[in-house]
Amino acid sequence: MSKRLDGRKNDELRPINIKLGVVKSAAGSCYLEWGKNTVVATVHGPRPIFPKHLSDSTKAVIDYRYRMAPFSVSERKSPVPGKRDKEISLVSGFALESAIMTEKFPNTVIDINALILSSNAGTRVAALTAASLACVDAGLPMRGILTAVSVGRANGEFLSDLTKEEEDAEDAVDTAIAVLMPQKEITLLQMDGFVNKEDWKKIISMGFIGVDKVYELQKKALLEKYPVNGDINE
Amino acid sequence: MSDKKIVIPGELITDQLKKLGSNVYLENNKIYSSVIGLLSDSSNIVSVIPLNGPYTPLEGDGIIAVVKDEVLNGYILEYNSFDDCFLTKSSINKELAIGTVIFLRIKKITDNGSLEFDNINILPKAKVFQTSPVKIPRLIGKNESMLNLFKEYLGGNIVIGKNGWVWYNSVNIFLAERAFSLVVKNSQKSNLTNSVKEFFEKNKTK
Repeated sequence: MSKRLDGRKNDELRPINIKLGVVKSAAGSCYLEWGKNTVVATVHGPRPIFPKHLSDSTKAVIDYRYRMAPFSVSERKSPVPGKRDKEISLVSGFALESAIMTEKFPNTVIDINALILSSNAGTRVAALTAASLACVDAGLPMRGILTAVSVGRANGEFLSDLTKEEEDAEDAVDTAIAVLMPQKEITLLQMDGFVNKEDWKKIISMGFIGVDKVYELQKKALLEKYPVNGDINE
Repeated sequence: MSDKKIVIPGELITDQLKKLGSNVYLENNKIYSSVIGLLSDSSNIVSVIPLNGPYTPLEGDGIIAVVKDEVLNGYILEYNSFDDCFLTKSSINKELAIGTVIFLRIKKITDNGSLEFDNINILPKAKVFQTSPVKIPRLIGKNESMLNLFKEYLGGNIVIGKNGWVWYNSVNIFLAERAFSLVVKNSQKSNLTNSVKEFFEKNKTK
């Protein structure tokens, strides 16, 4: 097994660092570093929705916004949300809707913002991982936690958590998988590139191994915020 | 102590059939948690006490609300929940200014989700400490032990609303705020009342 450019094994993830409750004004927030990716996710609400005709009397509306900061890429990105931002926001919002029990808050909206401060491939999975943790931090009732990871193929090797260099390979396949844990239900699945059936099976099974690793880190971060034992101080 | 266990959303609590308390859900005859919180698992009922989250109104709750807006026949009140509530002008015999703090008791929740109140008290102008409703049981304490401690050391009046807002007009508002946030920050730990008493004793001498 040959090593990758950054010295990782094929199924190894980049280092992940999670901190909860970083934004005081939000109901819940999460700061996440995933290799060179940096995300801040915040949750506001549930709150009354305006204009009223957007409201749903059976459930809360989820307004997920994935945005890249102008300085997050090497060439300045226009802060105007493009096609890519809008599409990712839409599908990630659907993924989060399967996790959050929206039926408990009728006629309201839950604003979830994920801002990418720095990017190096796999930002949508980092944003979704952070956003679901921010929802848990906000105390929203949820069926489980969303865990996302990117897997794929580059130069004939099957890799998990691809970097920008690997994504630019000639035969690259880049798949974003979001799974509702611990039920293991796929809630988001996107793919770039061409792949045959056998390779696809390998990629998917690799994805499920990847989300297990990320889920452990998410659990650890959540339990770290609320230590049961220890000294009582300001 | 170590008997406290924190569960996260989706975590399996038990596969036995028990009565469902708050913040749990049933799937495939197994009980899972739906929020991050402290597990309370007794022989016949299982529930999770959340560590954070919005306030959901319940009948009989005393809440603290702030007048947000005035309309033709009533007032719109903000009360730390996911929706605002409405107070008719006929239920009070005084005009309220925007920003007035009032204490109300929820008499009834109608089928369409609007609230009816009784026991409406207009509170004088003072500070309001805002926290999450899940911290309120710790701010009151067992048999109001924590609340009595606050009253003893801070002086003045303290009114705690079930919705997570605390109205207080004590002399030392900075100490009060520090004490409240001490409780809120360590709400999942045991032996809190003694620690708060120590905190007051330490800061009293200065």
